[in-house]
Order: sequence, then C-alpha cells, then structure tokens
Amino acid sequence: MNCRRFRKVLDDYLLGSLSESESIAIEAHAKSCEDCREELEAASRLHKVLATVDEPASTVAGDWQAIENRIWARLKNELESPANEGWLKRILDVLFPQFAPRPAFAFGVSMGLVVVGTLVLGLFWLSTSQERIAWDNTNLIQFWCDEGTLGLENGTQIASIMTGVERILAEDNGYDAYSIDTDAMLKSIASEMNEEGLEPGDLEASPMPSVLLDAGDFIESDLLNASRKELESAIESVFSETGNGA
Amino acid sequence: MSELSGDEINQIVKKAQGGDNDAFETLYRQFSRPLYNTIARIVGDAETAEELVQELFLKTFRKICSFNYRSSFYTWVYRIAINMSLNHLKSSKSRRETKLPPEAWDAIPSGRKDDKDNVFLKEATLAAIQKVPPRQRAVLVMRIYDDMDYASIAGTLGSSVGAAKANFHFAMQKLRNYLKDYR
Repeated sequence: MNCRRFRKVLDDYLLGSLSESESIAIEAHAKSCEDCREELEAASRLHKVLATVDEPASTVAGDWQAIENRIWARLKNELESPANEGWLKRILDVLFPQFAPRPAFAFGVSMGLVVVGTLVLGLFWLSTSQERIAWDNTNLIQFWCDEGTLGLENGTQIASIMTGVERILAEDNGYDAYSIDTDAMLKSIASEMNEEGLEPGDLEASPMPSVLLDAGDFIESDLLNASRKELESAIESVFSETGNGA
Repeated sequence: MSELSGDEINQIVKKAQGGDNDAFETLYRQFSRPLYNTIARIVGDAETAEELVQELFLKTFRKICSFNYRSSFYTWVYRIAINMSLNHLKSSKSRRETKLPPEAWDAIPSGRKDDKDNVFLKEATLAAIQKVPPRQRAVLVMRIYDDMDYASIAGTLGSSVGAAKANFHFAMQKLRNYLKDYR
C-alpha cells in the first residue's frame, strides 16, 4: 500500500469498514511510514472526539420530550385543519363551491385532469428525450470512472478523454469537430466545484471526478447524445490513439 | 417508545394512508428523534431543526399515499429529511448564520492544546463540522453518526457511490485541517 491509498482509506479503516486484508495492509504501512503513522494517530483522535459529540436531541434547551410534544401539537393542528382534505377537493371547492357536495362531478373533473396531464407529460417526455440520453451517458461515464474501467487518475484526464471522444463522435456523425464549448464546460465545472465547496486542488486529487460529470451544462455535446454503442466505440478509438490502456 | 418491526411499521403506514391520525402519531413518535438528530447535525441549529422536523412530517403525512413500500418507511422519510436540510442550507445560506457559540468559532483554527479533553473541544468540533460544505457535511453525518455505508448514502443523495466516497474523503480532510491545532 502506498501513502496516497493509505490516506484515502484511513477513515474507512477507523470506521471498521475495510476488509481484513486491507486492514492488515494499513497496519503494515503505518509501521513502516512515520508520516502515515502520525496521520493515523491524528485521525484516530478526531474519530474519538466525533464519537463523543452528543446527539443534538439530548443537548437542546428543554428536554426532548417537551420538544417532541410541542412539534406534535403543531402537526396535529395542521392535520386536523381543512387544508388536509386534499388539494384537488380544495381547488374544486374554490372553483365550483356549488358542486362541492357532488363527488361524481369531482371524479369527472379529476379524470379530465388526469387525461390532460398524461398528454402534457407525454409531450414533455418526448421533448426531453435528448436530455435523457445525455443524462444516461453522464451516468455511464461516471460508472466507468468509479469502476476504474477507464483507468484514469484525475479530473483533468477525464476532461481530456471526454474531449477526444467528442471529436471522434463528431467526425463519425459528420458534425463539426469540437462542438464542446470548452469555456462553458470549464465555467460549469468551476460553478459546480464552488457549489460543492471544493477547491481546484480537490479536483486534481480526486479519482472520482463527480464534479466534472455533474457539471452537465455543456450538454450541446455530441458525446452526451450518442448511443452507448457509439460511445464505447469512440472511447476505444481514443484509447488506441493515445495509447492510454483501458 | 419500543422498537417496532418492519411489518408492524408497514401496518401502521397502511392505517396512516387511510387517514388514521393515531397511526400518524405513532410514526412521528417512532422516528422524530433520530431524524431530528440528523437534521440538527446538518443544519447546525436546534431551532431550525425543530422547524424542519415539523415541515418534514407534515410533508410526509400529506404525501403518505405515494409511499409504495419499495424501501422501508424510515428510508423514505430519511431521504426527504436529507434533501430538505440541504435545500434549507442552499436557500438560506445558513452556513454563515450558524448560531453556535462565538467562542466555538474563535477556536478555529487557533485551538488551545490545553483544552483537548474538555467541552471546548467538542464545541470546536461542532463548529468545524458546520464549516464543511453542506453536501460533504451531510455525507459525513450519514457515515459517522448514522452509520450508513456508501451505497446507502449514494441512494439517499441520488449520486454515485464514487461521489459519496469522494464527499466523505474531502469532508474528513477539511475537518482534520480545521482542527489541526489540536493535534
């Protein structure tokens, strides 16, 4: 085990969720590496402190029972209010107060709404099919990254491969190459990282570039609209071009 | 309240779906405390946690007919609780409005080594947790305090297992960094 791997799985080791062989490897590495041994001791102290932090319900002002009862009293009040009769009945009562006591009328209107709703949803589904393919591909690439199928180390490499795959797909389909908007992609990644509270170094250090793949605003890309077969074929081509073994 | 089995809970949920308020109360009494703890740890404020627990159960009871028994009832409510906490933090930017004691904030990053084993260190740790970005903090709470594995965390957040691992790794790195003066 090397120092990088040691630090990555250190907390899982302290939580007791590593396999026996990995735990033995951790302990062996700690014996042979002074820096990592110190890291382990510091992490162990942190876990002990975290374990001693009391549960909030036992430290809130007033005892928990009083708080539990107070919340329930408010909930009960809400549940017993007319607002709990259901949104459809409330809307119908407001729109057609004279028909409120007639359930058959309410049922007819409900069925009408269901039919209209189904049509609207169907049209929405058709109009967003491109985004759905894009979403599937994003998840697929994330899955390959997680499984180590791509054998990549960090976000920059993934970005580079994605750009290569994009170019191959564009060529195969007769589109303009490089239709990825790199500036938009970088801005999107920066925004996503900011949202996650990550710093630039985090992306480089991360073997799981979820921020990169979550930054889906550069969806103009052919890459995200390709079928799985096209995607796999394009990735193979990039690997054969770059010599990056999958 | 005594522990109920999964089948017993499902029976109670069925009654609640039929509009039985006693069944609602049983579900509330059974699950409010652990959910309060999780929410409070994520939002870092008792008062907000109380409001969110009320909103959570109100939403749950209003939507209970859409619960389809594909997961446990608790898993279903827990997922709503996590999303609600994260949405709250996103909308209110309450990372900057935490109501933890000022002295706890002062402890970071210049911790006092002679305070290692006392209450002050606990407060500093709580404050440090609140400095971790919301999503990473939620993963930390799920992993450390709710004892969840990465697959369950990923399922709750709708993310990949890799993203859950990365979020936990970064959260712990940040905590260690914030509390480095206590080493």
